[in-house]
Amino acid sequence: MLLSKNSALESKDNEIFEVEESIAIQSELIKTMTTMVNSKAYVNERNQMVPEARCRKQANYHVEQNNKIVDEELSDWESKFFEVDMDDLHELFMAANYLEIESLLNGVTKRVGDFIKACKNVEVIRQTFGINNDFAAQQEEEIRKLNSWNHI
Amino acid sequence: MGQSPSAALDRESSFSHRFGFLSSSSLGSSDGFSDEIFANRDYTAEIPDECLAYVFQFLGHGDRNRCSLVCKRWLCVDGWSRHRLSLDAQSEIEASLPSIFMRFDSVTKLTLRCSRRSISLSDRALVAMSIRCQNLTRLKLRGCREISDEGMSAFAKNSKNLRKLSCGSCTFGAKALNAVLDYCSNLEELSVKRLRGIHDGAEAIGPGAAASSLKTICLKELVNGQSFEPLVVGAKNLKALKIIHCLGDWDRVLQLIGNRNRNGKENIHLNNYNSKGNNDALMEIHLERLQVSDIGLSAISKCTKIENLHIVKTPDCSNYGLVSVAEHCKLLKKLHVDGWRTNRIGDEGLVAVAKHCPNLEELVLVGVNATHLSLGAIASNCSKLERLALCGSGTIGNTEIACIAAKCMALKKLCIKGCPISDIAIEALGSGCPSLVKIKLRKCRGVSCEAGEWLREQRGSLVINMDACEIDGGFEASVSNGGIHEVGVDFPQVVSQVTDRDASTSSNGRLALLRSKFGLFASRNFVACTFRRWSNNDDSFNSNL
Repeated sequence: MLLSKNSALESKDNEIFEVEESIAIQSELIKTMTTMVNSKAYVNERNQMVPEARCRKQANYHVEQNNKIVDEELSDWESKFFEVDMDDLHELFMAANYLEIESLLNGVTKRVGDFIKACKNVEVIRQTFGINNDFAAQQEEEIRKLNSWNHI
Repeated sequence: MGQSPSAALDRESSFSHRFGFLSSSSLGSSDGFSDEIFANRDYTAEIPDECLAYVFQFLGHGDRNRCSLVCKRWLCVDGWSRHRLSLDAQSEIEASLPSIFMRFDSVTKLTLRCSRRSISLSDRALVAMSIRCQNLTRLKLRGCREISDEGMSAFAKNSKNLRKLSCGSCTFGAKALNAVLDYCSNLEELSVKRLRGIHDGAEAIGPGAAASSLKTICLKELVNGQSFEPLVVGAKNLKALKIIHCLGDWDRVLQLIGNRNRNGKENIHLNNYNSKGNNDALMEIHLERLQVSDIGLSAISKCTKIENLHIVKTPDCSNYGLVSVAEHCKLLKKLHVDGWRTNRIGDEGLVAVAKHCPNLEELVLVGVNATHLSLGAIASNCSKLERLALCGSGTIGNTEIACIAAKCMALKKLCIKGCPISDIAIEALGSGCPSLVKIKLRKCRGVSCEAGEWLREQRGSLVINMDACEIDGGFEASVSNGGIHEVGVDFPQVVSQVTDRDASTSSNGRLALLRSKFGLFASRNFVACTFRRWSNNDDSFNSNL
């Protein structure tokens, strides 16, 4: 019925991925760029991408799999897909956000949330994410005081 | 401060390689720190604030409070993305309120909860909050006893966007509620529990400007339920009505609602400017511990779109009323009846439900003397029944369960509590109810642990939740003191006295199989349980032999 059009997408480090168009347009960014380029006559489109090869590959992979697997298998697959370390998670986050892929973004943000939940206290959160404490002692105290009024 | 994780140095090199050209976008990053400690890579630095806020959305209060202490940027993002706030509403908080609402400037859902021991915040504080939170859509008040009619009125004037108000154990009165209903013209849900400020002779409470917008009204433990009559009747587009333990003549109120429906239908071709709303919108009614009789139920039968009906502890309701509802409310999906063991609702009413309500998905019967006559009919005719709970009924025994097992094809969840069933019922469930996913058994003393185990083995995927048995032969159930006491002490007498009856049960081949399968000691439990049941004069159920 429909011609399965393929998009050729080039990443910043010049790797080219062939992706089925229906998958490619799950990224809002690609969708927008595609419509801007006026794709009627084209079978293949070429779009210039900024992010890294790995981001793109993973994003595509995720999207592809998303379309194929049944619900149960999908949630299993998804939890494994996101069981990565902070570096990879960070890349996925950036890719999902830049390419505007909603499902990927959902998965990543939940996973980051899980990281935070697993931290027993504030210092552990800082260490996990590599963040410096830029509060003065008194400021921290004030925040804690306000927090104490705020409960379930 | 500034602790470097051991792996930071590794990350540091890759950091500069990949992202060196991107500047750190941390809001309000403090001076001096980034120079000294570039070894710490902030993984969240390049992630936009909106994404960080999105992460916070998945976290609860405690986690979010911790996040707010991580760094200035996280504090800021958490602040503007926190839409739900639940505050300890005692008077001591008033001094901190300006700071709280400066930090949390996008609150749309606010809960103010004050314990009984404390003095609550004042009218002035409530009004100040309403000025701060221009977009408040939900307010929940619990125990805020210092808030008066004047305070609530002033609050209401500032809260045009309010959609939901829930107040419990407060002391303001009718004037306050009328003010809310007059100013908050978008109000959709109103829940009032234990309002102390409504005295005899207080003004009536009407739907005000919210007459068309109100969808749910819940009234609980109100002495002057009468005052709310105009509100309940006047909410033209009401979808759900719950009245629990309130004084008042609810038959009359229900009649007025029912007649409104009937009139609406009759006048449908006339220019009836009074009935701009959808008169037949009511879908859920919950009546509990009220002065309501078959007159009220007959009135409800005029609300033909009802899908969810709870009739709980209303001793003046009988089969007659239930039949009336069943015959007219054919869209019924959920029915809860607590007959309070008055024996006024039983087979007759339930057979009518079986006959007229094919969409029934959920049925809960408490203290209702139903037998296989009605339960069988329901099992056969209500082919969509997925959830069934049977509690505290002396007439629900093995025959009834066998009936259900044989006929309830779609049943997924079954709960049986305090009914005189025995292991025979469990046997029936071993092969019946093909769609069953979960079963819960409570206080059914005729059912032995072995039977439960047997059922687990028979139907591997079924989740079985039973009362605790004493630990024996590695059963997974947890120990309860009650269990040990019940079986152990009576045992010696039981064995000798019960032989005749034992003989009659052992003639049943399948029960003998049960006993031999689980060993001698197990069978003693079974016998002891059975004997206890037969000899028990517990008034919570009649023997079913």
